[in-house]
Amino acid sequence: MAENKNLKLYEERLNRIVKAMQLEEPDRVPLIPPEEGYWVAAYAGYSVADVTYDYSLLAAAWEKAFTDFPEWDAAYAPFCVWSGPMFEFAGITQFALAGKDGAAQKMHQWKQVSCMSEDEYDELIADPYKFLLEKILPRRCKELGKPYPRNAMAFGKAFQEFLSWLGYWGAKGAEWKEKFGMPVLAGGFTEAPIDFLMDHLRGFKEFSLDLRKLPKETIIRACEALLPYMIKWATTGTRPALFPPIFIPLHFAPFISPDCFKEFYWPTFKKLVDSLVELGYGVIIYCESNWTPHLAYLKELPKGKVIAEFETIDMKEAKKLIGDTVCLMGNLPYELLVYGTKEKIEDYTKKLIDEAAPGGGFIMSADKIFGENVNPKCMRYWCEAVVKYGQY
Amino acid sequence: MEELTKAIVELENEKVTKMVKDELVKGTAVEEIVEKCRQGMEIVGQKFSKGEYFLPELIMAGEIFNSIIEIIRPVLAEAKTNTVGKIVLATVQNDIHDIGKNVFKGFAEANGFDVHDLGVDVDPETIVNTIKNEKPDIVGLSCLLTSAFDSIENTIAKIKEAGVRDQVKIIIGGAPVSEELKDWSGADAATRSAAEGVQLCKELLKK
Ligand code: B12
Repeated sequence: MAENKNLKLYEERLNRIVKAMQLEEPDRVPLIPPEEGYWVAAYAGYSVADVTYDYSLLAAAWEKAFTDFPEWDAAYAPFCVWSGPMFEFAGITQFALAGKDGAAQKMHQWKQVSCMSEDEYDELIADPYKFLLEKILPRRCKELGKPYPRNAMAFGKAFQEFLSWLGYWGAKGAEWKEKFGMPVLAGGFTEAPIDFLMDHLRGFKEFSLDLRKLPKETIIRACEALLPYMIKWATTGTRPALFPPIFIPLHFAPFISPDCFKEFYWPTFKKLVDSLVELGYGVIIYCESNWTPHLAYLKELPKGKVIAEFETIDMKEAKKLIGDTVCLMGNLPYELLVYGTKEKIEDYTKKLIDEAAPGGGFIMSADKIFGENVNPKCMRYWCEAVVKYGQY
Repeated sequence: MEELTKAIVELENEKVTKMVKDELVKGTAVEEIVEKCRQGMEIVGQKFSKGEYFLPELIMAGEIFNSIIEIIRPVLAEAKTNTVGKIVLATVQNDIHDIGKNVFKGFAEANGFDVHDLGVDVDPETIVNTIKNEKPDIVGLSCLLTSAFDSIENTIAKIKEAGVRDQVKIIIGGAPVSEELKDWSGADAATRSAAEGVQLCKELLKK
């Protein structure tokens, strides 16, 4: 009986999201807070270190949030606090794990360093797989850089942990459907080729200079060489479906000029999205920072298959420009959920709904991934405001 | 516009290097060279604010300015370069991100500020002590994550407690800062852009 009720709830939530993705009007505006585990952990009284090492604590934290905030329509990306044991087996050195590495207490932190040099582009282009496996991984993970067989043993352990971590969350997803009627939004992950190059290989400053110093061909060829791997990253172990979509956080675009974007960023990024859609996947792109300069490009993406989530953007403008192509999401300012009053939260929620919801194709969310300091009271006001103003 | 200023605005790295060396050989005063470069950097900042230049251009300009300083460093010590003001800069406690902070630093220096950089994950006490010792005009606090909100609040609270709040202006910068955070923490200015940050610092000096 209870299970039936939950399955019905699941269908209801799923419908709401899928209709929005297909640019139709659901019964009400879906609400999916950009939560990756950091906030639910704090809300349930755990530290990030606790939940990074004990997955069951993180699952319990999510379940508390599902119970207290039944207005949520999906768990955004439940396991993006990653796996502490996996990182430790590999001996990661460039990710400061919360609770383990000094300054990082409330969120894991990326050390902004470069681990590929300017003159290694040719090697990357010639054989990305070999280069990543043999050069980059050992530089980023000290255990994987040790002589054989220690590196192989470390790799084996880390990979084993990776699989059991994936398995754990796969099973949780199924359990949450039955017990809470709660869908999980992120079905898989990947990155735009150029973002992978910037984020994980060259680094922000170094790559910025590469764009000005290196021959254009070098950058373009590197992105093209990475593209098949970015597609594979998304499709490995996932099932093609509109829902749950593949999650693609986008990083470098807002920081570069429209010319640069057109030449270096867009071509391989568009190919990535098109390929995934052709294979039968839905996609959620997270346009982090401010995408205003490049907004119109998104009109070229496949219709009704893509959620475009925004940090800073004029939603009214976005609705006008690309609202008939992608489902809009995001933008409620984080600080409102920390310092905001009931009235301010209601006002902004209503404003977003007025601007972006008419005709469908809109999912309510906030501008930044939640950290520990989102105020539960503000979360409550927000949930109620969505229910109050979000009915179609 | 002066040739050297123009070359900087156009981000012609090699040309700039050669011109600076030529000027030195010609015996041009270091102050004058630096001034021309500063003018160029100021225009780069304006272009960034207008959306004509983006972050790679700003970073490139910072690199060019650094290489100019390297060239003239031997003679710089004797020259009396007049700074417009002194900034103590830090990424606040519990945050280790420094790319944004460093971009701001380079840009502030190129605009004539003397910047005392305390690095990342800097605790409030260190910042308070540095204010007492260095007597800056401005304190710049950087962060990349919202988790650093309370570090910003704490730091400013400690500055108040120590009784030195009146001696400095405080600017907060980084992707998650907002007017709300500014008001809540009691800072004087907030920005998500390095170029605007330098502009705000100049205005703060006048207050
Ligand atoms: C690139 C990026 C990454 C890359 C970093 C790669 C690299 N090589 O550095 C990778 C993929 C590793 C990454 C990982 C993660 N990220 Co991230 N990332 C970003 C992104 C898109 C850009 C950050 C950046 O490098 N900016 C470039 C610098 C130059 O900009 P800046 O620091 O803002 O500085 C500028 C101004 O702010 C100003 N400024 C800076 N300091 C100061 C100081 C003063 C005094 C002044 C005046 C001005 C000033 O000047 C600079 C130039 O204009 C941001 C989105 C965003 N809005 O910024 C998210 C973002 C920071 N990431 C986020 C998250 C959640 C994460 C992860 C936790 C994700 C995860 N689950 O694993 C991890 C780990 C956290 C971390 N970043 O350390 C969130 C943080 C949310 C929050 N609550 O705080 C953000 C905000 C995205 C979002 N919208 O939610 N990330």
